[in-house]
Parts: sequence; C-alpha cells; structure tokens
Amino acid sequence: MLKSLIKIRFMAMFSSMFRNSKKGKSYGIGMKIFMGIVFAYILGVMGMLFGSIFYMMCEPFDALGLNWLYFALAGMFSFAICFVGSIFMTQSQLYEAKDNELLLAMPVPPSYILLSRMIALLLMNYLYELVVMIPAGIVYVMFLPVTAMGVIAFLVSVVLLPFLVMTFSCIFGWLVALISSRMRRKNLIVTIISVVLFCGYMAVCTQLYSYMEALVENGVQIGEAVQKSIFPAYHLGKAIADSSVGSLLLFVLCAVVPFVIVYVVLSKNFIHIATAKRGTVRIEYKEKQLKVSSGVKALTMKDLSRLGGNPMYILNACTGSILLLLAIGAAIWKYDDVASIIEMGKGYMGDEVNEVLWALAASLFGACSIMNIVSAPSISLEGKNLWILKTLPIPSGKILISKVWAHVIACVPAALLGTIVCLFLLPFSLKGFLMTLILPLLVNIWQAFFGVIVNLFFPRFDWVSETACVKQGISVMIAMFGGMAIVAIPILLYMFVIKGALDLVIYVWIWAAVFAVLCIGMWRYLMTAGSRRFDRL
Amino acid sequence: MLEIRNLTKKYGSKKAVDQLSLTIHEGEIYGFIGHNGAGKTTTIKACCGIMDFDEGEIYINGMSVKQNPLECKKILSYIPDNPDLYEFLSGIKYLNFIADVYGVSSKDRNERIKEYADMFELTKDLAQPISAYSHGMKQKLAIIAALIHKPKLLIMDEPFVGLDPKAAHTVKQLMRQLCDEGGAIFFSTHVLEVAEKLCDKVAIIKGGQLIMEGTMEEVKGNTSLEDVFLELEGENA
Repeated sequence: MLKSLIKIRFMAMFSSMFRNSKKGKSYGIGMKIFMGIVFAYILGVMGMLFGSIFYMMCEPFDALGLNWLYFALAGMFSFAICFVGSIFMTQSQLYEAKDNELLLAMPVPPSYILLSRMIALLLMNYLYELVVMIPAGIVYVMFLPVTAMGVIAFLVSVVLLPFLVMTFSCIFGWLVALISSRMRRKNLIVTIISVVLFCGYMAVCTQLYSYMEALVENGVQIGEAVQKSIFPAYHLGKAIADSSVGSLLLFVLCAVVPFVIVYVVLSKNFIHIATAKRGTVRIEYKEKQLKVSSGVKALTMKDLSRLGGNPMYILNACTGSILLLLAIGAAIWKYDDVASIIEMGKGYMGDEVNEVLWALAASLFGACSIMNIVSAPSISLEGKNLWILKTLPIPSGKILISKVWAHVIACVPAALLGTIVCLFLLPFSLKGFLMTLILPLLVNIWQAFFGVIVNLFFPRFDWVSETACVKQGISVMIAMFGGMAIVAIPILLYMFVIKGALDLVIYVWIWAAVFAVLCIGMWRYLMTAGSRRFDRL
Repeated sequence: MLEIRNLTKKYGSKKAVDQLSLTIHEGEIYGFIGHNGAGKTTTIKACCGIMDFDEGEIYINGMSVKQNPLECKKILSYIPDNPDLYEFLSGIKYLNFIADVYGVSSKDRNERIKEYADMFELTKDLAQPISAYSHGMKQKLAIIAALIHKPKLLIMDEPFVGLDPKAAHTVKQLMRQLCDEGGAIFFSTHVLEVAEKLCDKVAIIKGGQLIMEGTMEEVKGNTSLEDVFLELEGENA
C-alpha cells in the first residue's frame, strides 16, 4: 500500500514535468533532452557558486584547525537552501494537498499518506542538498586528506541532514498555514515578507565574497559561536572532519529523533490537521457602487489580481523587476560610488561618458526586464477556469492581449522608476534618457508577448497548485532562458563581432528597433494564428 | 432560439454525439437526459461554442455558433456541472468582472447583483474570496453570474447539484421567469422528477444518439419519465 502511495506521488511529480497535459502524452525525446540540459545548467551554476565559496574557506580553515567548521557551514548552507526551497511546498503538499480527503476516505492508514508525502519532499530536499554538499566534498578532497571514517560520516550526514530539514519545515509549514489563514490580508503580508526575504537573500549574494572574507578572518570566534549555539552543525562538522564516531552518533540522534517525534505526532493528528477548517476571517460585504471597465481591462485586472494574490507567482515571475528595484535602491544608497564612477569616466571620455552611462543603464534595465515571466504561465494558470474565458463574448485575440497587458503593467513600473532615478543620478542626456525609457519598455513588451506565445505552445492545465504551475512549467523555463538567450545575441555580437566598430548608443537603438518589429510580429500572430491555437485548447 | 442540426462530435474514432438534431423555441424549458457518458455535456459544450464539432450546425437565435461565436455568446449563458470559478477573486469582484465583459451598465449590474444575491442569500458573503465558498455557494454565484446580462438562452449542465432545497426552488422559479419573458433554457439533469415537473420538452440521449424527443406529455404519456427512461435504456442495451 505504501509502495503504491509513493509510486503515485512520484508519478504526479514526473508527469507534471515530462507530460503534455493537453495531449496526455510524454514530451518527445528532444524536449526531454532540452529540459535535462536546462536542469543541469541550473544545478551546475549553483554548484559552481558553492564550490567557489568552499574553495575560499577550505585552506584558511584548515590552517586555523577549524576543518569541522568547514563542514558545519556546508551543513548550515544545505539546511538553509533546503528549508527555504521546501517550506511552502511542505505546507501545500502536507496540509493543503487537494487529494488529502480522497485518500483519507480510503482504507489507508494516515501514517502511510503522510510518509508517502514526506518521502517525495525528502527527495526534493536531497536535490537541493547535493548542490551544496557535492561541491563541499569535492573541494575538500582536492586540497586536504580524508579518512575512510570521514567519508562514511560525510555520506551518513548527507543522507540524514534532509530529515532534520523536514522536521523544521513540517513545523513551520504548519505554523504558516495556521497563521496565514487567520490574517485578513494574508496574501499581501506573505507577499511582502517573501519579497523582503528575497531582497535580503539577494543582498547577501551580492556581498557574498566580502562576507566570506569576514568569515575566514573571524573563523575562531564564529567557530566558538557555532559550537555553543548550533549543536547539530558542530557535531556534523566534527564527525566528518575529525572522523569522530561520537559526534556522528550525536548528529544521527539530532536528525532522526526529532523527525520520528514529528512524524508520530503528525500521523496521530493527520486527519484533524488535514481536514481542519483553520478559521478564516469573515469579511462582510457592504454594498457600494461598482466600477465599470472595458472587457480587456477587466481581463487584465483579473490576471493582475491572480498575480497579486500569490506571493510565489510574484517572486518567480517578477524577479527582474525586484532585482531592478534592488539595483535602484543600491544606486541611491551608494550614490558616492556612482558619482566617482561618473567622474572617472569623464576623465577618460569627457562628456561622451554621459551617453555611455545611460546606455549601460538602459542595458541593465533591459537585462533585468528579460527575467520577468509573468505572462509565461498565464494561460496554464487558467486551469479549470478556462471554460470561463471560452464562454465570454470576447475575441480570443483580446483575451491573449489582456495577458500581455497584465505582464506589462506588472513589470514596466520598476523600469520607469529606474529611468526617473537615473535622471537624478546621471548627467542628463536626452538621447540616453529616451533610450533608457524605451529599451526596457520594449524588452518587457517583448517578454510579455513571448511568454504568452510560448505558453500557447506548452500549456498545462492539470497542475495541483498554482505554485507548481509557476515554478515547474516548461513554458516558464523556455520564456526565461529563451529570453536570456535572445538578449545574449546582441551582447555577444557586439563583444565578438562588432568589437566597438559601431557606436554603442546607435547599436542599442538598432536593437531597440529590431525588438519593436518583433513585438509587432508577435502581436500579429496572437491576433491571428495564436487566437486559433487558443480556441483549440 | 436554439437549433441543433445533425450534430456529430468524434473523439478519435468514437462518436460521442451522432447526428443529433433538436430545436428549442422561445419560452421553452428543455430537459436533456441520459446516462453518464451519453453525450450530454459534449452537446451542451458544443452549443456554447467552447467545443469544436465535426459535422452539423448549431444556430442560436438564427446565428451559427461556428460562423458567429461571439454574437451567440452575447445572448447565451452557460453554467457548467462543476462551478470552477476564479478562487483568487471575491464573489463581488467575480460578478463585476463578468458584468464588465458582457458590457452590463453600472445601474443594471448593481440592481441585478443585489436582486439575485438577496434571492440566493449570498449578499453578506460577496466580499469573501471564492476560495472560502462551499460548493453550493459557488454554484449560486455561477448562477448569478450567468443571469447578470439577462441572457436569452440559458444552457446548464446539472444545475441543481450542490444546491440546498431553497436555492433549488429559487433556480426553478428563475428558470420559469426567464422563459416567461421570452427566453429559453436547455439543461441536462439526472433528477428525472425535476425534469418531469419543470420541463416543457424533453430529449433522451443514448450513445450519442437522440432516442426520444417531444413534449413531456408525448414522451411520458400516462407513465412517469423514470419509467420511460428506464424502459428505453433497457431496450437499447
């Protein structure tokens, strides 16, 4: 029975990745290879990032005799990445899964249902964990000697660390579900908290190397702090670096005992937890005059409401705009550095630097804008509601254009704000200002059209949660990486073919014109063949 | 109001609907009955312009659904068997969205929402997100949304599922009122007693083919609709 439950969970996971929901068939081998390459690329990039961090730590910590701290930090990084990556998934998979009631009505022990879900989540955590632990292990082996006991301790730790993560994410997931259900503006609050956390994460990433230097410089003090306050991390590090059997046993106990306790408690209360109405805040309707809008505006606002109501959608689909806002904030915060760069540039290029700075700003805003993918899952997100759009007396072309509008309205304000801030930070240049105004706008419009078109070709309506649709959809990946590849073309051309033979400002204008023409072409497609394709969905 | 001529819809080589023809006039409540998988929902979806079909024609108020889908959609309303609505919107925002799309004036939408929401005792819950609604509340909201633009033709797939007895009674009254005002209703149901009491005409479909059609008296004669239905099911088994 447990085997069947686990099997069905894995089938659900893999079918959401490798099956065309409309045709009910698996994607072709070409698509699977493409997806494999994309996954390998993402994992490779993250692995390289962590590898470089461990490379910086490895020998200095060895010199200080703090080898255990090296693995303790690796364990803490793994814990953090697994926890952040799985907490919302834990909430939706364990406590709010759509099939909870269906399975509970069957003669299946609740403990089996819970275990099958936990195993699926554990698998996901292993994926996250290996991105950190494999580079940590490789870098260590490259520079320092290892013992057989150390290798065994490393493998045991890798296997058991996700159990510790699961313990915490089960508890936090339950708390998040409980608290958020009692808040009046829960989506807004969760969105704000998520964006703040994301901003904090990005701020840490941008300062990572200076933090790492500080970490190495203050290794002894940090080691003492970890030893005193983070018991499992200390023993994980000691077990691997010092081949300590005692520490390994202590870490095993730290990982397994709380997990078993949480599992037993949740099993006993699973029916109550999974079926409890957590008490929503009741909002009573007060009659008021309703605003009248056009059909397209109503459709656009509907899509924006969906975006605003889902923090995961915002974080995953508006990444470019969030990064852009961070960059604007950093530029204002560090204005002295910006001013000194301008002065330095003037020393080399005179007043010509003005336009170059604006061109760089336009390119940065454009590059950020390509990371916005609001429109890419917008058709898939209609899911079971697709019948509503199909019965409305609105041409399909206009429905598709409303999705383009929703993307543009969600993403363009950040670029506009950036342009306004540049007016105050950079020496004025009319041509540069216009370029910074128009190029990111065009990139956002391009990405909006591109996302809708990609989603028309790769829709999937059988998702179990909106988060899964936004995070795992093939159209999202294609829009994101396809968009990046398209932006990379002009950049690579300029670097390796044009090689400065053409003025940068003129070059950017030429590409702006190319994007404009492509946008017109995509608009035309959506109004004609794209509409027919939508009708057939 | 609704004319279906030789409708055929295939899924691969299987015919879900086979040469089906029927006509619904203004003022008629037309019941559509048949066992599960008989082709009711396929026929209904084809009438609403949300499912392509292979052969035949469907006319709404004289307009072809294939040639003029938007004009047809303007005068019809569809209520599906499962009210999957936008759960991220509140009830009132959903109704306002539907009113916007159908171009209902500010005055009319305010009046109609108040009238129907009061009728279904949903007014106080309109500010709640649809995700917090029960199945019955969603069904009521879907019905209000369907009526907000005063459709001439109402097409419903199992409209009474999930409704409490009072709401079901209200729906029946509204159905009769819509037909008395010159509209028409085409709906599927498994509740034969309801069909018998409510419908002016009835059609029985089996294996995608229409096996009986006519006024309620013509179809059931001196027996009950249930007897006729079960007898026909047995004969054609």
